[in-house]
Amino acid sequence: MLGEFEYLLLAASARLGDDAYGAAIRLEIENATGRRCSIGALYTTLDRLEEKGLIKTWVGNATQQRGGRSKRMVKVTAKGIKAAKGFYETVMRSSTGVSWEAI
Amino acid sequence: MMRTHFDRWLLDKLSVTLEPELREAVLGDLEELNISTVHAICELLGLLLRRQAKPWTSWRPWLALFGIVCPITWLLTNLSSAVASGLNIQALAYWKYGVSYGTGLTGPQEILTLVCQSLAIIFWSWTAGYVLGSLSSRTAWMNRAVLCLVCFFHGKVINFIWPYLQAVLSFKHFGSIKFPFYYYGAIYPIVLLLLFLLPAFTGIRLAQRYCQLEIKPAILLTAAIATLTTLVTLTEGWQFTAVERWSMGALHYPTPGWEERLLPLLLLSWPAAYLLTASTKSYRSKVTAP
Repeated sequence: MLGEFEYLLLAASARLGDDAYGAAIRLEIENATGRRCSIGALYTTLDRLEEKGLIKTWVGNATQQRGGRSKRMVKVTAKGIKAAKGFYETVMRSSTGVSWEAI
Repeated sequence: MMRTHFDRWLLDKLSVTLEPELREAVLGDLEELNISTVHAICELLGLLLRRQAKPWTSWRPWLALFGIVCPITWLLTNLSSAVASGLNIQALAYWKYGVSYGTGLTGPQEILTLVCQSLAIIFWSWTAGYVLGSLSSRTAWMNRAVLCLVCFFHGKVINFIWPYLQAVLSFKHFGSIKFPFYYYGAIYPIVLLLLFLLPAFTGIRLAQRYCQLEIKPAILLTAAIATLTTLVTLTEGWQFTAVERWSMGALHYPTPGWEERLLPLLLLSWPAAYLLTASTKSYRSKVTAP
């Protein structure tokens, strides 16, 4: 099963669609969690997800904003979608009947 | 956040161990994220640390570190030091007195001993470097750094202090040989560089480029190392008996038998056996593949 951070990364990539790349994914995760996301954790997890076949990455275009350096584009594969869906359903199932407001 | 030329240069140099595509992406992200240079350096170091830690979850880097870097570097540094000492003594004798230093060996024996030891160290070093590079290419830079540390720390400090310590504690008699400062400043570093470091680093580099050695070169390499190991064992024995013969029995050292002399040399030869086994496996799988 996916880890928490792996799911966050897949969800951010899916939300960004064609604009999913390193820096953008990092900002999405930080906005969603309210916590800082390190470049080290991000790229290590991207490598791990790619090894598992859950994402595929390729070299994207360079931009002036990036000092003329290219991006690492990310796309979630069908296997990745299935894994993320499984994680989401597991969390929803285990949260049934739980109200964090009442506790 | 405007980065100065120096900031960009520093980030560039710090990220040199990353693969080119990843390096481009990471440096581009750091530029785009508009964070301070200090923050960017911390982020980059965090990434480098994680990437270096990951390969250590496998057995290969540990075998490389404790099977090659530590023991073999120590042994090869010892042997290089012995070669350098021999050259140093001869150079001193010629320089000061115009004659060669008598070791009891004949001229051809001296030359054969020197050539065998030097060639053997070169072959052992190259093979150890190749196996090191093929076992753990991702941790190669760390293994190279540890290799240099073991080499220089052991070769320089221990070899300088140990003879005097042993003489004081009377464990062994080392005579009144003193190593002048230029031994550690010139002769020893040159010998270490040519016989050990250069071949070892060349082996590491070639392994990172070609990964697997073909069967024929592996067989030739193993045969060469087996021959040189035998010759070094033989010629080492000459030196012990020569001293005793030269002193007409006055200087009698407990001469180690050929088995005792061979054992550390076998340890130096295990990378060759590993290479041969790996090449044979690869050859067999190519031959039997449909």
